[in-house]
Amino acid sequence: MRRTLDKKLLRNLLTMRAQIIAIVLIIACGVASLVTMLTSYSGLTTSRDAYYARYRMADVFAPVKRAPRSVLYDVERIPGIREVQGRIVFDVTIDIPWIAQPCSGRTSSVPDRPGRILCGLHMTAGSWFEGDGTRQVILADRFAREHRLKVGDDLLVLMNNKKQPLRIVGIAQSPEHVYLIRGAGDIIPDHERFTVMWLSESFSESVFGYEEAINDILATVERSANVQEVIASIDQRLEEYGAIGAYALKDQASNRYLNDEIEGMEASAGVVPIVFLGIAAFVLNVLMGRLVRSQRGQVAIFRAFGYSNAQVVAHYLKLALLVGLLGAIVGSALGLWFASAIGALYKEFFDLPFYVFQIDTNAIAGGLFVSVGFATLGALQAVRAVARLDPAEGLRPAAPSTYGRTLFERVRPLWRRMGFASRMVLRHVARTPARAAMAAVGIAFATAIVLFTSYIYDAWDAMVDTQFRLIERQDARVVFHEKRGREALYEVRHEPGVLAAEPELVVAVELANGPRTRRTGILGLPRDTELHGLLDRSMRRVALPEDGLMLSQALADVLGVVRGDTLEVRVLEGERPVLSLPVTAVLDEYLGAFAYADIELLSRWLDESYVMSSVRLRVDPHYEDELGTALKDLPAVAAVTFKDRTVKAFRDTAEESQQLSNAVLLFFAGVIAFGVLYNTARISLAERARELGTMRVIGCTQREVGLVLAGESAVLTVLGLIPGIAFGIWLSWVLSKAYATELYRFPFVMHPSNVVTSVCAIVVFAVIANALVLRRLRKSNVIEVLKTRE
Amino acid sequence: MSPTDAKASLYSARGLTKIYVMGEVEVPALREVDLEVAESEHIVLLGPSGSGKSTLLHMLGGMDRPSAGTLAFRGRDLTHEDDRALTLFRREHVGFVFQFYNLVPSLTALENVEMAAEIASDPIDAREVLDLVGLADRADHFPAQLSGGEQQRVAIARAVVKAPDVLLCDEPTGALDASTGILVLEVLQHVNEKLGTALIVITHNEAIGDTADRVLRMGSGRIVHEARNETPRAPSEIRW
Repeated sequence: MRRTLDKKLLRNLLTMRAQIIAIVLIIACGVASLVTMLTSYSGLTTSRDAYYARYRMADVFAPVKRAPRSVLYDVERIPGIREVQGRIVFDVTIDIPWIAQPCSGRTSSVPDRPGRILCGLHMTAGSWFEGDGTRQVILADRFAREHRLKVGDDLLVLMNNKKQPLRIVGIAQSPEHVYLIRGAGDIIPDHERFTVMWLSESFSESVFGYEEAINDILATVERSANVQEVIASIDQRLEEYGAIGAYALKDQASNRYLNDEIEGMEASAGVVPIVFLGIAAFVLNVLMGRLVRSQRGQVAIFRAFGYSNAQVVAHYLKLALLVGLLGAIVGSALGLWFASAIGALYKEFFDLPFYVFQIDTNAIAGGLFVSVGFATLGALQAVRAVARLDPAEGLRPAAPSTYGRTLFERVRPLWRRMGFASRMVLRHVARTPARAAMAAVGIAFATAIVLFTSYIYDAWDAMVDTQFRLIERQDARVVFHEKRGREALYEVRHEPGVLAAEPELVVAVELANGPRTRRTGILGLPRDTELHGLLDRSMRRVALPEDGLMLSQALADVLGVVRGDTLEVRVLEGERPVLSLPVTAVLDEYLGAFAYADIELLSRWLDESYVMSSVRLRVDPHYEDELGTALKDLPAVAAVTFKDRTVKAFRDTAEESQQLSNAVLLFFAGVIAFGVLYNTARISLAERARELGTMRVIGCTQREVGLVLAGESAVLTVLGLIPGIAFGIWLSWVLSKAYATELYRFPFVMHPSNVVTSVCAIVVFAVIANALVLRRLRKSNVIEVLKTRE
Repeated sequence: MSPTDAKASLYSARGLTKIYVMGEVEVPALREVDLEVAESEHIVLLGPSGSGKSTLLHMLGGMDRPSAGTLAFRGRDLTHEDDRALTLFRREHVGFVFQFYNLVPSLTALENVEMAAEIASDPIDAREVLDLVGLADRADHFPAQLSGGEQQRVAIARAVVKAPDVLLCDEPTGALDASTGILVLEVLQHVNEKLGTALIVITHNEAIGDTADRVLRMGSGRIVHEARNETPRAPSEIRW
């Protein structure tokens, strides 16, 4: 007996396969989102930890002006310090012949002979130095790939005012540079124009004139040590050597961006999958219920044969269990696949030598639980109602369903003009308002997801537009190796193609608001700056104060200050004054966390009248290459960045990281919209077979009958679209308010065209779903339904 | 009623055969049936279950195509018509009445009738037809609010409103009690007489044969006996 029932179950699954597939896909998407996010989160976290541990990432970084190597013995004795290493770090200019502008690099010294060092190198090609390493370099893997440089090639480097070729002996990756940016002012890596590289200690000493000296110290600390206390001791010990202040790993730029991503993911992994899984569970619940209800006749037959209520219920629970199980399996597989794709993206984006892909069993277990749970719940509610019917009741052709007049009918002139098909559709929808509402809710979710996805695209666009058109108004920026006086401005103004030039000065500081501190650079600008737009919340330009700071929203959030608050500014350069300055404005910037002040004020802190660390330029586009080439030969120039390229790099980065998740979101929306409408129409087709068959017998064409089914879908779609648009706008608004990392925050923009696009997308899904059902209607001769019962 | 031969031919079937292929088994439902139906003729089809009467009715109504043989309606060959043409044929010429009424539950009695009227080329007024079946006062009721007999009369009105040439009724009284059944038969006969619509009725009820011009008895897919009533009786006169 039981075996027969199981066979029936299997055949049921086969005959309803299209509906089952649609339902399974919906729950699979929910499960997939959970598995994807949690797996990616644990994958990136584990990869970071393993990379840092295996290559001995430093815990503390302490740059100085110049210190004798012997100071390392003193630092090593500081309580809490475990290991210390000194090195020589310099910014250099690289001349890549096929690039019109100078590229910049940062050289770090490593021991002549390979060994266990802090911030170790993961060699991807070549080997360590030969002999004392003179004129040899180990190049960063990313830059080498970007320019197709190989071991054995020469790299033309301007070091200490001397241009010389360095032979590439090795290519490597380092845990110190998972996110490679020049410094405080940069947000997006420019892999084409900036790199790190490693020189031998001997060669570094001779080329930079640092015999037995160092300018950077790396240290690891004991697990039990208080890092802040260790840093304070180091600062004290190194003060006489021009230390600008040691900082912990958590403040290291590259690590901070990596951690930002991990934290962002942790935050969204707690919300997004729950929303998705919730939507999927809801739709699953509804669809399972309807699926079981459509089996009314079969349930009656079981009961007539003498199967007990419990047996019938168990039978359908098996169906639900199978559907839930399938959903969990497909979802987990899909999630792991997405997660591995995201892992590959991360490995590239964060320049990791390996990515630890770990299957998150908790996520899979959670997905399984929700999937099976809601499928069972939906089926249970329905099957209990159906099983309660007397067998004879279920076997009789269903009595005509009770219909009533709808509200529309009050508008008599309109109602009179409607054809019978429209009347049937409206009365049918109005008769089962709960069911209609559920389908509409599904459509609303799908609409919201599509709208939200298009919002993310627009938000990126708006972000780029604000940042690179309204805020950064320069065409190019020239960064100097050292701070320079006014003469640098005049010098640069005379270079080819330069239309205007403005100075800027970055001063390293620690900003403090009580216990909240942030090590950053303050960007000094002329008070009448033309090449930088400082915009307040209403996008109005504001002028720099004579004696105060302006903060970008992200930095203000980190420090917990608002306009009018006072910040303690600990300058980390020169005489290291400590000042108290008011925050005169919080700027509505979407990218990065910056502080701004008057350049003259900043210069005074350094005991200078007017200095600059870089110059912003407006450039005649025809002269870009000529300008770049000219700047290549200026020893004082460390780097030149052209805005167009930055924007492109930014867009590429954004696209890279967004494309996959957007594709997944759209797929999910499609599956929901399609699944809901397809199932609704299929169930309608099953429930109303006699009605539709009668219409055919009377002489209605396939088209006219199809119109009744499609009409119902259309009404449900419209009912869902309207709240869906509102929900999507709300979701976008919430994201713009809630989601903010230091790297970026989303502006709220909503173009009417997005709404149109979203509506079109949902309509396309609806049309596909209906086309399939109508094809089925055409293939299955509905007249047959009427013939069978006599 | 005048004799059949004096009237023009409505249907003409020759060697009509229908074989259903059920998986690997061939089930002959109709075997080489020859049949002539005259305009306005009233025929009753009798026979046990599976004798082929429903199959014949479906064939006549353009709901099914024969496996062999020919079927002509007023000289028009229906044998090879496609689905679209058969749909139009049903729309213009045929009215169906089923045992289980099959009204559209979301439309009122009047709207059910109007639905059929809307797609017909020269329909009768829907209210007039409802009046004809004695349901003018129930026009605005939904099927769920009507009794079985009332629903069947709405179904007849729906079949009649497009002024078809033939009414095909499959056990129209099968689900009704005697008095309601008689009422329904009266309506059918009324339509036949008043509008001149040919009437072909399937039934298990031998007595109903007395109301027809001709009674065809079917068995094993063939017409096994044919009888003509020179004086058909009124439904109220028959013993149920």
